[in-house]
Amino acid sequence: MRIGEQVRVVNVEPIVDPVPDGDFPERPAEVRPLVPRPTPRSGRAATPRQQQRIRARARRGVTVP
Amino acid sequence: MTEAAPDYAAPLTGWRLWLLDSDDEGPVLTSPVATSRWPARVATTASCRAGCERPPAWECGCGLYATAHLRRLLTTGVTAGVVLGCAALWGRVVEATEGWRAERGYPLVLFAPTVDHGGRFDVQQAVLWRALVRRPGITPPPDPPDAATLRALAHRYAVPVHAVPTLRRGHAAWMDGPATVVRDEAARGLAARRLGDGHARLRFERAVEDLLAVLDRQRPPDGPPPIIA
Repeated sequence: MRIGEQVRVVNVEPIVDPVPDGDFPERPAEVRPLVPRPTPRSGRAATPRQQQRIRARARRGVTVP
Repeated sequence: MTEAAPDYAAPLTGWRLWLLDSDDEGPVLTSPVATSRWPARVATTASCRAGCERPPAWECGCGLYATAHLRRLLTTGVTAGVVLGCAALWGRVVEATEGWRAERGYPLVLFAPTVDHGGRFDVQQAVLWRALVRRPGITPPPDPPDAATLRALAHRYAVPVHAVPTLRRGHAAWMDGPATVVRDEAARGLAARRLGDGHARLRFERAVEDLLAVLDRQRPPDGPPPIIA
């Protein structure tokens, strides 16, 4: 295998061992479920227009969680 | 006198080829040049027949070889019985303009040609084996590895193994871009993947899928070449 001209010698010490320790390809690690990305208005109060709809639904007897 | 401070805290990664052999415990990766096997779940450590104290030595040619670009490997083609892979390299490493010679190594992702082309590439395969295998008594396996063999290989080495069609010399030019992305991501996201970062795992899988898509289409990728950091 030809890898070209030699340039220098480096010392590489990985922080994480590249050798898998008991992992399997279909389950490489204990992966936490991904948290959905927050939208700009997630967790905010309803807008006046939304509050108007909620009140209208309440008057009609529809309960929105 | 203590060891010099490390130059890198993440492994270097490069492309290399193995022969697919087997022993009592199943399929095993062997070096195409030296009579040595790459053990599963243990780092492979380079040794030198010339007697270097700590391979790779600057004056010698010993060490575990890997190239930065696929075009250096696909000079003849890669057929059944040969495994292409991206390997992590660390320890003492001799850096060259287009690759590395390393003290320790372990595969991170493997690609095994499995498609039987009905003898169309027999001539290329013979050329490849003459160029690649320099050990006596090694003959090409008669059949491409089946899905069970690849699964056993993946479980034994605990790395992903992907079946690919025969890789021809002409593929190298347009495989280089997606392959370089796979190589970069294999090293950059290694620590995060091992610590359970799902996003890092998805980034690596997406890079591998892009490379596989190019191989499946058997033609250059659509659109502009990827931006490589």
